Amino acid sequence: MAPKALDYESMNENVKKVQYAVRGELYLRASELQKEGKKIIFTNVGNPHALGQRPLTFPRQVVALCQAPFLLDDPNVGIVFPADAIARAKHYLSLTSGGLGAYSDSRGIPGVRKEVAEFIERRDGYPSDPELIFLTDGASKGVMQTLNCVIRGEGDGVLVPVPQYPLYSATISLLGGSLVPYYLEETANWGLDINDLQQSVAQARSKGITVRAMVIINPGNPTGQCLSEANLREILRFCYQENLVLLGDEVYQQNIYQDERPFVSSKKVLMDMGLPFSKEVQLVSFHTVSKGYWGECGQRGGYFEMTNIPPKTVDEIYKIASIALSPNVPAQIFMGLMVNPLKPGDISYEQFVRESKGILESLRRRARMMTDGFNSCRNVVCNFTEGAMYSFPQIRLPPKAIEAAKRAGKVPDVFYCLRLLEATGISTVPGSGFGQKEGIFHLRTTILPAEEDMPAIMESFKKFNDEFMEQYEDYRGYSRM
Amino acid sequence: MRRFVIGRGRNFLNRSHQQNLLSSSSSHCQSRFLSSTSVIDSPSSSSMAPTSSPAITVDSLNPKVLKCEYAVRGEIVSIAQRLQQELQTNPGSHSFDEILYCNIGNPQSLGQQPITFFREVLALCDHPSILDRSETQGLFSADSIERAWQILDQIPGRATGAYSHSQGIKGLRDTIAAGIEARDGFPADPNDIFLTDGASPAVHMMMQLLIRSENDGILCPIPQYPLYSASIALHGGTLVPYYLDEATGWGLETSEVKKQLEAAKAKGITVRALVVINPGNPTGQVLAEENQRAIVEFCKKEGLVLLADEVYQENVYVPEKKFHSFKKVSRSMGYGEKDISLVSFQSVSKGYYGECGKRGGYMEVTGFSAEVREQIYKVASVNLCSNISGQILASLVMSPPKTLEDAFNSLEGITCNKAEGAMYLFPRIQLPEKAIKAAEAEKTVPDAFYCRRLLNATGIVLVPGSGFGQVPGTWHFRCTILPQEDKIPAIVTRLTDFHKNFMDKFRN
Repeated sequence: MAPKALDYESMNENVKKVQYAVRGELYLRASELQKEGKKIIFTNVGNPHALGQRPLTFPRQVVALCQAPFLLDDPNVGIVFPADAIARAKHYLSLTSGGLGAYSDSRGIPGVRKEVAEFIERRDGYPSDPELIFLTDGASKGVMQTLNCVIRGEGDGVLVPVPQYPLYSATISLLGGSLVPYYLEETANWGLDINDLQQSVAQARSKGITVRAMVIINPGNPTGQCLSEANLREILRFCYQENLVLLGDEVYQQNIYQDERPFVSSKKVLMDMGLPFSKEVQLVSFHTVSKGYWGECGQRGGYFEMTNIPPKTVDEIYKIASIALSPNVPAQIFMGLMVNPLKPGDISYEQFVRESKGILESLRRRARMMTDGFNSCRNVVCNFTEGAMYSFPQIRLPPKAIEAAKRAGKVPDVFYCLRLLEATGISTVPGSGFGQKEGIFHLRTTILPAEEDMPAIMESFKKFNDEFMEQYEDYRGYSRM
Repeated sequence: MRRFVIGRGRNFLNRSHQQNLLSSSSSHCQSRFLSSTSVIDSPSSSSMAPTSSPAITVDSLNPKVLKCEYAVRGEIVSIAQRLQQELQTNPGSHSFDEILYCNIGNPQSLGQQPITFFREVLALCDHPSILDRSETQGLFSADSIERAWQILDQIPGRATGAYSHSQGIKGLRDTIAAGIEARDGFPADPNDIFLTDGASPAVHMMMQLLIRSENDGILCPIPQYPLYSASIALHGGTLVPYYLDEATGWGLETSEVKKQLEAAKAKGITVRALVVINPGNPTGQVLAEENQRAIVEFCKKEGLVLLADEVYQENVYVPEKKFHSFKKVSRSMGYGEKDISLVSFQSVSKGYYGECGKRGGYMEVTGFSAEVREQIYKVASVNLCSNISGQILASLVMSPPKTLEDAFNSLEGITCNKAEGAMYLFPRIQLPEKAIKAAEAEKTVPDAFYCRRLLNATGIVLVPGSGFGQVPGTWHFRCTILPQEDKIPAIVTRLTDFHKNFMDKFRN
């Protein structure tokens, strides 16, 4: 028999290079332990419903009715579903071309894209064209499609923040491009330094790389920082000068836990800047139903909006979208509902506001609880989670711990996180999965465990951490050095 | 603590500034993290104007994107959409009244109705909180409520809005594996199943793994469904065509495939896989089993991965043809994991369910090493998971409500002849010795003993075979096929549960 056509050696090298720590070693180990009966608290991925957050009632009512439109003919439907949900279901069904079971336009249902455009216009104060909005099976697919257009080969580089959400590094690896890192400064609240950007670009160019695009994640993942308008202006100006398309990952725009820097979209800032920037800088902005206070990760619903992308390029992107035929229709309806929410006076409005506020206010409290909890631990320093869903504490590992990690054949933060997992059941993602400065270690956890469970979780972490530090330090006693 | 880190940070920056190859003004030594009104000149551009035309234009796009084509939604469709708009704004502007879309396999856009039971279950899974309300039983059928509960119990926290395992929810994969086994008669492993947003993303995943460069070829049928050509182009590989024979009902001859394989090899192409679409798209042929055996043999001999696109498995319209999965054919030839690398694709978009818009599907991956499977998992994990509603639908499609006759034949010790006429099924049951003895102890005829226990447990009323006469020592019962269609799934479920418990209790 001839040797197998597909074995590890003969596989696409780019696939082998891909790393995605969010569901990597720690998660797999946690899953193993869970099967053995250990209680695991999964804080490895921003997956709110998996940690007890309830779905918002109204969207679920509407989509359930859209799934089973024959219910609308049942005289008893009003007993179980409120009138506004029924009306909204009819509205979305009328926008489809045969209900939820038919492929829609490959860019998404036109009526829903129109609702997205209206949302963007209300949010930013500038018109938005539905023809330049494509719905996708989650924002990740949109990111992959965009990078697939940009990356021609390893000669093409994409500026990516470090630390970053590893979708970017994984996708660049998969597509055979080059990741050009720019470092966020932890001591300056994970701020962005234009100097550093400049240097990164220069270094890349000196290696013969054409830097084509820049990614910003705002609010940041894993870092949580919210960019100021001034910062965004600098970035857009930089992209203008350096001829980069800006990829604005704005999936956490609803998750803001401080009031000094509310979310402002890259698009708005770009339009505010006026000519020549507003007509020249190329921008692709991403959003999702997975985060915010909706947390509907399992639906796989997202969109991207293109700004200043030439028509022929838009056509090519449409062509690629058409190969996948269409994004899933139920998620498109979730997206419509998210961008076109209930209004005061609607029957379900009060409940919707109560549920939404409840979630957001609790997230804000949890962001604070976790930050403070980490900062009370020995050798742990944690910037406040200004936005998104994560806490990214820095763990100052003593030299002896780093040696122990080496002996165990593990990267130091992986070693720490595995020990944390075994001791407490808390499943995190080591900072090395996101990128960090040499010799500095972090872990990422979500702020999503239920509020009532938080104190116990933080206590459990502190106990483990402080004992770990005692074990590997040369002296006892509390120290934050 | 913070001072220490700032100090380290400053040292780092100072070091990296010293390493900076470009000359820069002295103001660069001070880090700037907050806003500033001045713009730092980049050495690469001395003015405010950008150095060249926009970064992303058609000329600078990934050439693989430019190269790939997808005619199903290509130029003709764009023109059609324009014509449709013209008809709306200007009726009578054309010699036809309406645009009839016959370009795409999209049944529900042309009036095909979805399967009610499936939609009931999906609606309940989308909004599980109504299951706690008694009024819901007035709106939904009993069996859809039962099935929804079953599915929700397999989802941690009943959270249908959470990312699942990257291969799909385990319980649903178990159901699909059981469905594959019931279909083929050979076992299927839930760990071999990867649920995806439709079959197409699964095809892309395999192309991504298989194609290293344009020197890697994939054998594709001509004519083919252009997902394959598009995907191969996108991944930078080479499509190696093999021609189906129109004169013989679009037959697939392994001699033709072999010829094309050799021609490709001669050009320096490493052929990695063979795509077979069965039933065919666009050609509609259903392969004969012997043809399939020849294909399996061919792939095994030549060391090719067999990519079996079987999304139309439930669309067979002629009585002389039957769908056989390539998995079944391979296993029936005695070929297992070590013999043939096979990826089978299935979808919820076609068949009698036609749920295109849901984007549900899976690939069953067999005959690959553990390392390869890890890599497949890794790629799947970057997208986290496929949409949950589509996953649920895939499990429903692979384990639909059974007919009564199917149900009886699937029970331990029961066989049932097909009902060719009249209104009845008359299954035969092999009652274990223990049960016969227990019946005797109660002074009851054994088949009446079974029927009485069934009635008391489930409320289902049958007639013991002894009421009709039967060959001595054999036992039967008569069941009508008259209950309303929507009650049948519940009957099947209850009967199956009862029978399993009965056999557990009385098995010898």
